[in-house]
Amino acid sequence: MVEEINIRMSETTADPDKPATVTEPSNNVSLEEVPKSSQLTLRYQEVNTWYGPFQALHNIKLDVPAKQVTALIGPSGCGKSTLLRWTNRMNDLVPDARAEGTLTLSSLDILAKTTDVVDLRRRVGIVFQKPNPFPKSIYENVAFGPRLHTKVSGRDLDDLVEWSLRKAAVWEEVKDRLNASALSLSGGQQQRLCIARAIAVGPEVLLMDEPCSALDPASTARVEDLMFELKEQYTIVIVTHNMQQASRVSDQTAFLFQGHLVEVGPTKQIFTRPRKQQTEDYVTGKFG
Amino acid sequence: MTVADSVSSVRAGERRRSARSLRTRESAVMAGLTFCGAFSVLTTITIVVVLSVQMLRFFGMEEVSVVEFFTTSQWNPLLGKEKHFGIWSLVSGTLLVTAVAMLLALPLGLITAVYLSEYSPRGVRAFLKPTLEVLAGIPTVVYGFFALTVITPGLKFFHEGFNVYNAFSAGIAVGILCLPTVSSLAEDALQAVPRALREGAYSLGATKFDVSVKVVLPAALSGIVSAVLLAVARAIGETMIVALAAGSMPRLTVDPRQEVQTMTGFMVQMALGDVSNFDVEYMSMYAVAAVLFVMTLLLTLVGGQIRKRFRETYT
Amino acid sequence: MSTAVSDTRPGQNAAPRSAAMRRNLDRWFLIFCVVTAFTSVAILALLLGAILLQGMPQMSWAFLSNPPSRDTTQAGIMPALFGTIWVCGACALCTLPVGVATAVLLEEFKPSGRLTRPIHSFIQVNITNLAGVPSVVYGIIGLTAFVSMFGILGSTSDPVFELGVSYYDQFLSEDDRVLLVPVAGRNAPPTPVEEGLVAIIRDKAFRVHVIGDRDPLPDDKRLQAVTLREGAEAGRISRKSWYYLQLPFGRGVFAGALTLMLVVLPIVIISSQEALRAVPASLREAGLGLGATRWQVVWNVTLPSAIPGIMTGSILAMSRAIGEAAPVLIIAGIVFIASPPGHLMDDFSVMPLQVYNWAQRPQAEFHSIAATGIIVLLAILLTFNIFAVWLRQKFQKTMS
Repeated sequence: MVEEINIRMSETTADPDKPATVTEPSNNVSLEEVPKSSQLTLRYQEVNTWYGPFQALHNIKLDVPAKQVTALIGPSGCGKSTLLRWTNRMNDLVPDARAEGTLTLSSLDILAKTTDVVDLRRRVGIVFQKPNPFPKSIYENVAFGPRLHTKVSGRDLDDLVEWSLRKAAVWEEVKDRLNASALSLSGGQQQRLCIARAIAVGPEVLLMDEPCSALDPASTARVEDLMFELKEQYTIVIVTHNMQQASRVSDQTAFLFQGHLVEVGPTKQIFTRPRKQQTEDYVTGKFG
Repeated sequence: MTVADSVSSVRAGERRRSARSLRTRESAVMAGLTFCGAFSVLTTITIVVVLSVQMLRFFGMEEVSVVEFFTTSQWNPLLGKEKHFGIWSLVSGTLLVTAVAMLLALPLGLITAVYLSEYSPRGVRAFLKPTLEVLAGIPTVVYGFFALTVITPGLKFFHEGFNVYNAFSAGIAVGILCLPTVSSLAEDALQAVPRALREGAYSLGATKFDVSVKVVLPAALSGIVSAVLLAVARAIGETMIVALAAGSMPRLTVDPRQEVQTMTGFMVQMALGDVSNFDVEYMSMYAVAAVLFVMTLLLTLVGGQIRKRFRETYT
Repeated sequence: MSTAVSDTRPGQNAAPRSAAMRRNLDRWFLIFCVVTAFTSVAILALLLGAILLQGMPQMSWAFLSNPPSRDTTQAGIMPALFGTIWVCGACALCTLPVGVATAVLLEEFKPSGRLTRPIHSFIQVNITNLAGVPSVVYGIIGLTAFVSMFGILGSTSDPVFELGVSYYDQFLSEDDRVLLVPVAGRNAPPTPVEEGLVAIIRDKAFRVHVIGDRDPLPDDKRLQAVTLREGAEAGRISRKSWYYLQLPFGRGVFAGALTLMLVVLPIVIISSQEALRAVPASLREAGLGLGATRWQVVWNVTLPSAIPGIMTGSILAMSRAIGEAAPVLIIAGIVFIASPPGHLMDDFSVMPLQVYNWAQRPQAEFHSIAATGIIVLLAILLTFNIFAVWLRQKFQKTMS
C-alpha cells in the first residue's frame, strides 16, 4: 500500500526552534511508523571508503528495506554518490578507489573481491544524473542488457523491450519509432529510456543518482510519478539534492554530511522532527 | 610565460616604436603573412593546372586514346610501335599492394588501438606509443629494403611460388608503414567516445570485452572509417617500397605472388628512364600522376570530412 | 499511471549465458589484444635487427668519408651525406618562415567577415589535403615548376639567366697541359687560335705560342707547354663559383630543396598551428587588454610562448624531409655523384636516394652497404628526434 505524505515546508526559516508544519494524512498513521517490509535488501555495515588518501565515507551503517524508496540527502561532496557507486561496484572503474566493511545484498557480499561484479550489476541497476543512452536505436538500447545475460531473442525479446518501455512510462511516445536513434529523444524521454534499459535486465535494486537534476520540471514530475509505480517491484535508492523531491517520493531518508551518516529514519520524521540539530539545519535550508 | 611576463614584454615592445611606423609595420606584416598563406593555395592550383595541362597534352597525342586509357589494361608505353596505354594494370597493381597492406594494417592497427585505449596500463602505454612513433618515422626506403632483403626471402622459404619481385612482400611492408597511422587515428576516435557511455554499459553487467567491442567500437565507427580512408590514401601513394620490391611489370592480376607495377612505380621508372621531355612516354607519367592525385585527393577529402563530423558529435 | 503493466518480466525464463564463458572470452580477448599490440614491437625489433646485422660489418670511418664506387669495399656515402645537409638546410631556410607565417595567419588572425571566413576554412582544408598528396606527385610538380620552370625560361642546358659562372675554351697544349681561354659567354663563338691569344694555366696568364700545322715543336719544354697549333679545337667548359645561380634552376640542390619544401610545408603549418593553439588565451588577453595591436601580441607574447612547440614540430618535419627519397629521385635521377655539391644549382644526391641506388642492384654486396647507409640515416634521424624531445622537455621546464 502506498502512503502519500504531504509536507509543506515553512516559508520563513528564521526560527530554528520552530519545526516545519505538517498536514496530517487522512488515515491517521503515526509519524513514527514507516510501513516496513519484513525483508531487508541492502545492508551497509561499517562501510569506509577512500579515494587515494582521502577518506570519503566513514563507518556507514544503513539498512535499506525492500521495495521501498530510500533517499540519500546531504550537501555537495558529502558522499551520497560515492555510497551509491559502491553499491554496484561502479567505483571499480576508478583507479584509486578502495572500500572496507560489509555491504550485503540479501546474502551476497558486495564488496568481496571474489564477487562476480557482472552478475551484481545485473541485480543492482543504476540510472545516472545525465541520461547516457547508447548511440544506437531505442530498441537496441533496451535490448542491450538482456542480450548480454541471456539468449533471449525474437518475439520474446520484442515483448521484453515493450514491457520495459511500458514500465518506464515511455512506450506510448516511442512505440512507432523503435528503430530511431535514442539520441533523437528529448532529455526526459532519454532518462526514462535509461530507466527502461536498467529494468530490462530484471534487477532487484534500482539506484538513481540525481536522476532529475538534468531534466525540466515536467519531465521531473513524470519520473517522480514513475518511482511510485517502480517501487512496487524494485527497491529504490535515490540520491537527491532536492529535498522536496526526497520528501515527496521516499519512504526512508538518510542524511549524510562529510562522509558520515548523521541520521536515518522514516521520511516524515526526518523532515518534521529530526533528532539531530545538524539534520534540522539542513532540511530547513540553513546550509547546503 | 606568465601573464606578468606577457604584459611586460608588450609594454617593452610598445616603447620601441611610434604610432605611425607601427601602422605601416602592421600592414607590411599582414601583407607578408597573407602572401605566405596564399602560397599553399598557389601550390594546389599549380598541381591541378600542371597535371591537367600535361594530361590533356597526353590525350592529344596520336598514339593515345582516352577510351583506351580508362577502359583497357594493357600498359606498355616503351614498346616501339605497339604502344598501349590502358591504365587498369597499373591501378590493379596499386590496389593489390594496398589490399595486402590493409589486410595487415587494419586488424593489427585497430586491435592495438583498442588495447591502448581501453586496456593498457600507463607503463605499457609509455613504451608502446613511442615504438609506434618510431615505426612511423622510419624512411620508406628502409621498408623497401626490408621487403626486398628479408620479407621476400622469408616468403620464398615458405612457398616456392613467390617471385623475387612480388606484390605481397611490398604489401606487407606498406602495411607495416601504415600500421601506426591506423593505430593512432583509431585510438583518437576511441578516446573521443565519452566515459558516460562506458559507465552505462558496465552498469548493465557488461564485461570489458562487451564494453569495448559492443559499445565503444560501434560508437567510434565513423572515426575509424576516416582512419581507414586516410591509411588507404597513404598506401596508394607509397613509392619507394614498391619501386624496390614490387617490380616493374604491369599486369592485371589478383595473385600477389607475382611481379606487378604500381602507378607510383611506373612514375619512378619513367623519371629514371632515358626518355626525352616531350615524348608520349614522358607525358604518360603525368597522366598517371593525375589519376593518382585524384584518387588520393578524394580519399583525403572524404576521410577528412567524416573525421570532422565525427568530432562534432562528441564535443 | 499504467497499472496495466504486469509485474512479470517477459523473457524471465530465457536461457542464461554462461557466466564462465563470458569471463573466459573477456580474458582471452585481453591476451589477444596484448599479443597484437606487441606484434608491432616484434616487427620493429626484427627490422632493426636485420639492418644492423647486414650493415654493421661495413661501418667504418672510410664509409662516411668515401664517395660511392663500384668496389663495395671502398664505397662510401660522403657525397650523399653532404647532399642531404645542403638540400635539407636550404629546405629548412625556405620552409620554416613560410610555414610559421602561414600558421600565424591561420591561428592568430582568424577573420570574422562573411566573405573571409569561408576563405579561411578553404585554406585550412587545402592544407590538410596537401598533407595527403603522395610525395612522388610533388616530385613531378617540382620537375615541371622548379627544374624546367614550365619551359618558359629556356631549358636547363641553355638557361635564360646565369650568375657567378665563367666560361672557357679548353685547349690541350703540345705538352699536354690544359690551357683555358676565357670566353664571353656560353654561346660565344669558339676561340680561334691566333697570335696574341692569352690563356690561363692554374690562374696564371700566359701568352700562347702559336705554330703552324706543320711547324716543328719548340725545344724549350716550358715553351712547349704553351704551344698550340693553328686550327686546334677546344672544348667549352664552365667554372661555377659557390654562389652560382641559374634560371631555370635545373636539376640542382635548390630545385630539390624547393620540391622538398612542398612536401614538408603542410606538416610545418599543421604542427605550428597546434603549438600556437596551446598558448593559453589568458596571455593573449593580457596583451590585448593593454591596448596592443594583434600583431604586437603575436610577436611579443604568443610567438615566444609557442616557439618550443614550433621548434619541436619543425625538427620533426625536417626529419621527414631527410628521409624522403621519391621527390629527389624524380628531380635528380640516379646520377653518379662523386663529390659534395659546390653550389646551389649543382647535381646532388641524398642519403635515402643513395640507399635506394645500392639496394636496387642485384648484387648482395651492394645490399650490405645499403644496410650500412641505412644505419647512418637512422642514426641521424635518431639524433634529430632525441634533440627534439630534449628541446621540448627543456622548454617545458622553463615554461612551467
